Amino acid sequence: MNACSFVLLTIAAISVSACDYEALDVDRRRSPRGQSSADVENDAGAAALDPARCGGKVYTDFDGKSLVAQRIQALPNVDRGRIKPYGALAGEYARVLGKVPESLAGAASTYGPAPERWYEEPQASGITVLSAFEVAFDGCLGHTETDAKYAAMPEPSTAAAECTAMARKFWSRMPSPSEVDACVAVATTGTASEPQARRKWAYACAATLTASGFLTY
Amino acid sequence: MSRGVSRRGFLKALAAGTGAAIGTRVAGGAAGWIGEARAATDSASAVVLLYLTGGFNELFVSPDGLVGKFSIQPGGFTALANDVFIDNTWGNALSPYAKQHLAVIGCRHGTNGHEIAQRALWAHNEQNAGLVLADAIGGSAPIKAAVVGSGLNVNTIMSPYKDISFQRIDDMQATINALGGGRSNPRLPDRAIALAGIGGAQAMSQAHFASSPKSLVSADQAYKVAIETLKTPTKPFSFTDLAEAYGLNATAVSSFKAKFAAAELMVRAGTNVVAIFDNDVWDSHEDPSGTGDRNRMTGHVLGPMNTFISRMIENNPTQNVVLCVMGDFGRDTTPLTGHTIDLSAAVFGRFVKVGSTGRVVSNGYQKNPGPGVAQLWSYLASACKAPTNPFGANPHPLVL
Repeated sequence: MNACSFVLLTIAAISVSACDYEALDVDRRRSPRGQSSADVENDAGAAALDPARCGGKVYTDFDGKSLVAQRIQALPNVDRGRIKPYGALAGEYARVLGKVPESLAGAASTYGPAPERWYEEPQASGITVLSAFEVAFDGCLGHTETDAKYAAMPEPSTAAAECTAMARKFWSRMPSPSEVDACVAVATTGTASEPQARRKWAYACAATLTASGFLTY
Repeated sequence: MSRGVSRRGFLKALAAGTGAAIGTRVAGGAAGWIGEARAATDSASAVVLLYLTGGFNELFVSPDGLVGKFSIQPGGFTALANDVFIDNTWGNALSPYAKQHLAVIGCRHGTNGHEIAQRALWAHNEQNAGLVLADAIGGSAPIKAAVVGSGLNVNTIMSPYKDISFQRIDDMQATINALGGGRSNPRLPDRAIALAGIGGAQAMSQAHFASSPKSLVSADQAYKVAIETLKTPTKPFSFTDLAEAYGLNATAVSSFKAKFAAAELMVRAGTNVVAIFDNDVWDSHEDPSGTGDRNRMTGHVLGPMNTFISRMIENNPTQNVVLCVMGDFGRDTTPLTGHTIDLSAAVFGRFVKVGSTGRVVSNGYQKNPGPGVAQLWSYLASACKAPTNPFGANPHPLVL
């Protein structure tokens, strides 16, 4: 086959395909963080790419079944979330709190280190979430121990402002109103039995640090 | 007498004539008498699955059919009741109780591919069979299914079933802390406020979970389990007792014996199904003498397994614990010792009747192939006396 024929065949192969790759490229440029599946569905240009609509030759396995028969139709930008591995947490806590909580080192085995010379995608468990909250609380106690703003009891208005600021810092994005409300609830009603203002703020800080906005990426 | 249980109440309970009516239970040697709070989360049944990834050589549980293979000499194996025979490695190591409560269960899944066999053995109606069993056993424990340590077989169905998922347990002390609380440290959160805090964290995570329903499914489940754990009355456990029993010097679930210790912890905590995956070289190709499999079995399996059977089956009168040893498939008896398409699982339990539906013939395959995967899980549900059996009829008549 000469070069000219190859180019013509390539152009023909691309032309035969009915897949809308332009729409896919648009979606790949979007940031996935914080988008709900509803947001993605409503995005202009976020056309669902149905594999069944892709034309062209059907390639089969040794058993005669199509190689793409098991391919599922997935929305772009969905299922991009991943859990931060334990090895990244020290740097992450230091980034947002200024120092690594002392209890983090003792929690290493809780997160199940991968065998040597191997990698396992981190999975969360109830125990890791509980441990994460304890570590976060430990770190937040230091975060709230000196600043004058934490000396006053949290009120709905002050808690909303501080929760927004903490979420922005910890999650690298602005929180939604419902997320702020959840944090405010922790700071005010959730800590009703806690007499000390700074510890109340520490609980709100720990809750924000235990949310997926910080523990995942 | 334990707190909250008067002498009059104790005697009345005895007069009722059923041990379960006592309401509290003796946790073996772990914690002594526990108060009434424990009864709210008791699960009377539990199944522990020891899964040898790669294969479970049938020489251990059907040597009589393999004379001349795997170094098995005529009569060179141990006879149990009801024409059941076990390899001498098991015969010399298992306790008399274990030998009196062992059944061999045949299962033909029909595939000799690892990934397909692993998925098939853990599947029931497109759900994870272990989670289906955990649901069937019921109870109110916050962690109904657990996998101890590493090695969770990713070829099994990973999706939760009715909000039950395999919670990974990697550190026993962290788990004890989560279950028992009671640590006096001002830098630890108050348990009740932590419940509110994690509830808030969960609420702050919902949008994220909605956008990653599959990739963050473990996280979604984890918050639910954490909340349920904090809502459940605390139970004190002692790692010291486990450490002494299993010979441990660390709380991390990083060794095989630690996995059995963690399994005991979780069963005592009320978990219904506990999975132990061992990823040693159980895919024992080119081992016609069976030496490799025997060395692995005696080297790290039988010791902790015996300890578990003694503590959790023989000497645990208020829980009905079943231990099932299984793997991808058996080994054929060719020089390459490849894969068969069936499995002879070993099941220990208080209500397990000695017998075998998993005898093999000289090529390593089942002598009477028939019952499949659902029937194996049905047997486990029957043996542990689960309140319901979602796997259909149990064809293995080996339940007392």
